[in-house]
Amino acid sequence: MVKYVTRRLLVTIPMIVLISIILFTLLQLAPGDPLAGKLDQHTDANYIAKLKEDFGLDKPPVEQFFFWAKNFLQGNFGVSFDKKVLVQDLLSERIGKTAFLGVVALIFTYIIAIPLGILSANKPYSKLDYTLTSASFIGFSMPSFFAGLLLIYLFGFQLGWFPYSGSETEASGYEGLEYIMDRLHHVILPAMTLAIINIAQYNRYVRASVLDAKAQDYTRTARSKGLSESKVLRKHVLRNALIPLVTLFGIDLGLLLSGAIITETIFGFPGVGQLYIQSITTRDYPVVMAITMMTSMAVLIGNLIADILYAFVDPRIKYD
Amino acid sequence: MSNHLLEVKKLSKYFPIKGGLFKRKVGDVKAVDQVSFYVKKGETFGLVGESGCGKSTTGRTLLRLMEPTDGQVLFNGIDLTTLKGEALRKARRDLQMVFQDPYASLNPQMTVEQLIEEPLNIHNIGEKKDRQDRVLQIMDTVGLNKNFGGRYPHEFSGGQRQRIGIARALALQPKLIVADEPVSALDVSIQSQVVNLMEDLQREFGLAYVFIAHDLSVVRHISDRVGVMYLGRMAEIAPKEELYTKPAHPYTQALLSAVPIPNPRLKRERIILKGDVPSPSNPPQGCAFHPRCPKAFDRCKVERPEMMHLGGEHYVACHLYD
Amino acid sequence: MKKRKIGILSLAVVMGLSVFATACGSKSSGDGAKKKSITATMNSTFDGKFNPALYDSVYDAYILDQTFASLWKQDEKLETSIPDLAESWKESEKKDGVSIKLRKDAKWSDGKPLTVDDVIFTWKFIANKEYSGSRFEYVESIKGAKEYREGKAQDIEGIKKVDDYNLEVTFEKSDARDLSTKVFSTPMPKHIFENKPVKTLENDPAVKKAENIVTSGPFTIKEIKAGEFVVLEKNKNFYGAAEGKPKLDQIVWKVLQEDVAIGALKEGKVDMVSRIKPGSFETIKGFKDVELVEDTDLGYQYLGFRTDHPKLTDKRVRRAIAYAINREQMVTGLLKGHGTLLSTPVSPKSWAYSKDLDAEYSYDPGKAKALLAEAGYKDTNGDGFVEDPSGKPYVLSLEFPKGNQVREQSAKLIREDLEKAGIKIDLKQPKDFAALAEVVQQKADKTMEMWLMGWTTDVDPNPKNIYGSTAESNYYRWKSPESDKSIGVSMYDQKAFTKEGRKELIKDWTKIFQQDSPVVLLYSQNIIDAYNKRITGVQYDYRGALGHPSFVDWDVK
Repeated sequence: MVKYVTRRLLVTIPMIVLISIILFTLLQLAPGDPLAGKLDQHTDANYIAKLKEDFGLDKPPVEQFFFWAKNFLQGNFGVSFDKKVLVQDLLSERIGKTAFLGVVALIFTYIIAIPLGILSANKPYSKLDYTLTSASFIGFSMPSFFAGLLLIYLFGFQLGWFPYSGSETEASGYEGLEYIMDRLHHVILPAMTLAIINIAQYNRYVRASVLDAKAQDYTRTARSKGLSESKVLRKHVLRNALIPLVTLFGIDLGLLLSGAIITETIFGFPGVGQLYIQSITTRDYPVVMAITMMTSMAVLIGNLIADILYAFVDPRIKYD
Repeated sequence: MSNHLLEVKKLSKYFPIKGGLFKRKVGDVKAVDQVSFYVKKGETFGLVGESGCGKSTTGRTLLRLMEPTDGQVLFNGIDLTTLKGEALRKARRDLQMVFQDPYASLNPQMTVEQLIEEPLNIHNIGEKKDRQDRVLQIMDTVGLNKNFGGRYPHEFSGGQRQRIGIARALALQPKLIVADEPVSALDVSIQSQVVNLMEDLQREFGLAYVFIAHDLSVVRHISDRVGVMYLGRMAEIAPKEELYTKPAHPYTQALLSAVPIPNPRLKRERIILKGDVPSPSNPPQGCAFHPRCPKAFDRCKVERPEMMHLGGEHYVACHLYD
Repeated sequence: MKKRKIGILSLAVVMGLSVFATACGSKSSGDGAKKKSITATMNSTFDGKFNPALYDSVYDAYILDQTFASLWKQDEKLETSIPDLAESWKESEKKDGVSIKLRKDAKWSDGKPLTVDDVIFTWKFIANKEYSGSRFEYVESIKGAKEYREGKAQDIEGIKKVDDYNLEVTFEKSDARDLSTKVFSTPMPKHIFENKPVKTLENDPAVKKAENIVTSGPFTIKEIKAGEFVVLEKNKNFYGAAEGKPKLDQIVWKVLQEDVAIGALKEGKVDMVSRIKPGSFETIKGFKDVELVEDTDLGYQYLGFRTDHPKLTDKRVRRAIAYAINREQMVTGLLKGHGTLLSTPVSPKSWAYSKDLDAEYSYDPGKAKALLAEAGYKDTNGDGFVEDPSGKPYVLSLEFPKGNQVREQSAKLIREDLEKAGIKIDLKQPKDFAALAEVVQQKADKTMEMWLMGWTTDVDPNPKNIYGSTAESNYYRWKSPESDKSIGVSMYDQKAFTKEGRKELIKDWTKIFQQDSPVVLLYSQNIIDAYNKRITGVQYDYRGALGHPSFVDWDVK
């Protein structure tokens, strides 16, 4: 196992290098000078030239890349072109929030989608199943911004159950548990928005997986042993049907972040997604690079974790 | 009659065909259509037929792994089709199943020990310690290395897996085991080992088998009596020797003519059947076999033949013998 | 199965309940005392560089306006006339110097007095070679500032401290422009910044951490959550505190996407929404208890020409295009009336604005055709479009950036209008703003012909920064000695030193500008703000309601 993980990590390194090269090239090719957006009758040529020099933009691209890579390896993500502050400072404030949002969204996904999927699979082609199927399709095809606005309208404005924006109450003075609960209270609507598409997907996936497991001989075996239906489901069907979900975990990380871009913007939720979209419009490449690299790494590591978990939950999988 | 361990009466299993926008029922697949037979204590009843003829469905319906559409399954005089809940669970102790694919039939998440022990736990048989002893004993009986109890099914070869499957079925000391093509998926060299094991176990524990196979030669080896199915219906039932020497139904005759004979000097005329097996969703009128039957006559096209007694334990569903 | 379901359900219920419990709890435990607090929204996030010399974003400016006092402020005519930190000031007759007298009761929020030293420190900070911001222009006019920046002088010659509250400034030369363009007016606290490195000050806590930011205005910054909100709290050390200003105890600035902000405004969950799109006007109009205010913004949209492009060197063609575009229709149709037609670069709100110049370039397709014909552009092959004087097909390309919906729609209208007048238009796909801006700015670019973009106008009506022949922002490459001379006169001539005189001179320049038509000025979009009527004392002008200096008088019922 240790060998396997080491090997996988080693394979990850060239992958990250490749991703960074591709990303850097793409950003170089993209039209739009990061400083051109600062159109202002007061920006004089000297100022722009000085900024270019400060940011190293006057150097050839290859040199820029190595400069960036060297700093990146040392944990220095550079200075934001747009805001002129350290990228790590920008990110450190936001990563925790996005991670929190993502985790809660994943929890929602699991606790809602899995039972619904099982319910669907338990009585396939029943009215309930068709209802859930239709709901899934609606959920899946609903754009995030629409889902977000809908939730804000219903639960934020009409019912007033949850805050309609932000990640915490302003000037609240909360501390300790109260603060945590406040954060939790704020994260629920955006997390739900983020989870809707995932729930729709997972629900279908679980349904198919459970139906599949139910048709397996070992399920028949279990029944023929005289196991009660609930035990058959729990010990034999679900145990086998839910394992493949682990593999989705790595992909989920990437999906959550891309979903967070829209959700965070709508909810004024100050996470990495909100910063990302802003940085793309302003051609703030150091920030774009840092976030994209971190996401890529999160997905790669997420996949690795998923694979390792797989070995734990499925005895058939062995790594050496 | 009273010495019949299992008596199946006009057992039917239909699968609805749904179609159209609103998934209305538009017809039935008659997978099992009024099948009757019996199994005596300690004997092996072979059930043969081409794939798709309904033999596996029959096996599963017997154990209520599928709900029968109609008919009765009397086990020790009790109708299994009417049992529910606890009573059904209890009844299942005595009826076990062994599947074709030993791998698919074993939960990949459980170790061999857990697999064999689970039925004991379910039925609360003995203390924990006893159960563990029992597991080891059974493993020994079926020829599995006792030290491998902690391993998972995927760590075994096909033959060993089928032994696990059998061990698992044996754990509850059933009276009847429905074996659904238990050796078809195995290598030929292993097939005989498993069949022999099953025979040994039968002698030792007085088991009765319903042995389902598409391979007539394996059935011949193990069975006492054999039933031949065609398109969901029972075509012929006879004691093994009689069936193989004096097949009555044209379909049985055709099947037997296709079985290779070990002695190359013996010559036999081979009966080639015309056409394909018709769809069970739209079976032919009258005798289901008539479109392919070399001896079919007018009556076969309109009237479905009933099971007729030819003497002894030989039954056939064919108008030729009316 | 049942048990499992129940388990999951109950887990969900417990989670839900615990959350509700806190929700209810928070309402009662939150603001115990009756704080006068309002919530205002901005529709995109602030950068969080809360320093008057370093900020870049308009959203940071909202916060700075309310937290930092300036020497003076502009009135509704864009004239620097309202005293703030400066009790009084006097410009010399020739406009080559100013003496400033600070009020003695001004203090920093940490209690330290605000003196001339802070003002001087701020100017020297901006003139420092290491200074990374973009505001050197605002001290450049002071005598010796350039030398100081280049390291040739230890001090800025033109700054003379008389005492702690009196200061005299000498400019490089007589200069008619508004004081606000010559003197950077928002001081930074010297005692906080004097020992900090100039170059990397953006990353200093004194610029971005609420507890470290020392302000001089009506409010202090109490809490900052990046990308989310800024909480402003009444500054007890503000010089107006004695008179009970500001009246509010707290202003919460929230980042909220416009659709959500409007919903929240309707529900009474926020009190003020800034910079609303014209399209949302009618929606908000129907809200109970909400006041909508609008005024002409200090900015305009234009269609720019590359006047050095062979297709566009003839000013008759440029003039024809100006006549051919129905700008009225943009204001009434696209902006639904929430905008102003514009014919001069001087804001209609400015004291220097001459209304009679607006008559030029009212929609006149006939005149457009006549001008084209006069320049030799005629439809020789009968396809409905003019050919150039040599008989070759004449097609003009038009570029525009994504992002501003009204502008995107106006591009299509412009094409229709111009094609009606006989000029074939190649309307390009919209580009990202940064991508288009890059090409617009390139000095060597030969591909662009016409494009749509906007300017934010300055307080001072001086056109030099954009339309001077050598100006960095003269993307039109409009080189007119006549214009340059006129601009010079309007800045430095004796006549320019009186308000009326300068207005005349600027009008003279505007006529030259209009005749040459290096750009077609399209419209000024209105700034639209909305607020809940429970807030009293709100005034508005070209700065909207939220950017108006009257915020010290805001109160809640």
